[in-house]
Amino acid sequence: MEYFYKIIKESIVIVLLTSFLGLISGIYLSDQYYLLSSIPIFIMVIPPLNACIGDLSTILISKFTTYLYIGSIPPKIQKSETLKNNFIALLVTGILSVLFLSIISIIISPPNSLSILNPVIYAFILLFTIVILFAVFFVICFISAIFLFKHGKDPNNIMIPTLTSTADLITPIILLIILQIFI
Amino acid sequence: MLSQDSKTRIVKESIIGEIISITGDLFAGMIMVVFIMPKKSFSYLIIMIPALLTLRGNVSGTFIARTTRDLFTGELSKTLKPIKRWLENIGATLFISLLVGVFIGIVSQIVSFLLGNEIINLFIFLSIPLFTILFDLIISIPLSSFLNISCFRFGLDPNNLVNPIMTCVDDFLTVFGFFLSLILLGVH
Repeated sequence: MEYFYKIIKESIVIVLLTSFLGLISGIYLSDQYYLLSSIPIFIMVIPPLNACIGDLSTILISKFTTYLYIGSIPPKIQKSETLKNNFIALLVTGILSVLFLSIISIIISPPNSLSILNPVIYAFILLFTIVILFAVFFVICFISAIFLFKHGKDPNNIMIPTLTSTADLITPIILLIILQIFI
Repeated sequence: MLSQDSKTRIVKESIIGEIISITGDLFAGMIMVVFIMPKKSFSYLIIMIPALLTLRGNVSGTFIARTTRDLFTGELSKTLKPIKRWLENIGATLFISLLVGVFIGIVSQIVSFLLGNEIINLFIFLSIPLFTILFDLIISIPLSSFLNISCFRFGLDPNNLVNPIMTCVDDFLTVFGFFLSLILLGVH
């Protein structure tokens, strides 16, 4: 049972903590229930939007870790061509993904899901959310990868669960704040 | 090769995975809107949905990562031997999930009570996450293990394939399991 206890010992605290973050997100959504129920399409896009920002963060941290290990980027906070390429490429991926999400969600959503909102504004809200979150997460990923790498730790192990859970917490909150600005 | 990543190459390689992931998660969102949202108790039920989706990612994702690592390091063979190691991995995954499921149920009940919930009781708040997690893991554990071993046998890196596929499958199973639990418990 050594392996069993080792897994529990190493995982339980982070899983409890991240679930608590998820509960905070749920409490916020419950608080915004009337807003969400008037535009149900936003409930439909929360899981894919969470997944999208979570995936982009995972790709970023995984790439930064590899770049640091193979020496493509120095362990210093400074601009580089590699960094610029990744920022632009993954931002484009995020924008294209969200455009795809906007179109497909409008097509498959039940009638009246977007009743009080113009589809162009809806797509713009999703785009705005992903651009803001991506920019913030890019900076966090880069700085934390360098910090952890300098301290001899593998950024993958710490940052992937932390960032995906933070994305689950922050994405619906930012989405609803931007929605409230536009309606 | 990684150091010579061009912008076009990064976009090309990452967009396919993103589209698969988004499509799968949209179906999960669709179940929420069509089947769960019309329920009277939705405003309270929604408290636990993000936590369950987060738990799914952190528990199922780490189970997959541990299995992949064990296959690469040779601590687990392609026939899942020694079976004891794999079973201990499953046991720990189930134990953590159920423990956190109880935590989610209790906190959700407390919060919903403070928000004025008089519809759902503690038994239901405890049963929903436990059923949802078990429903997901009963399908997800054998499926992800099968995918892991299949990738390994065909010389593919399970890290690149199994996790994105299972993220999408697990999100769908979590929301569907959540919906099934509401039907079984008669939650309106």
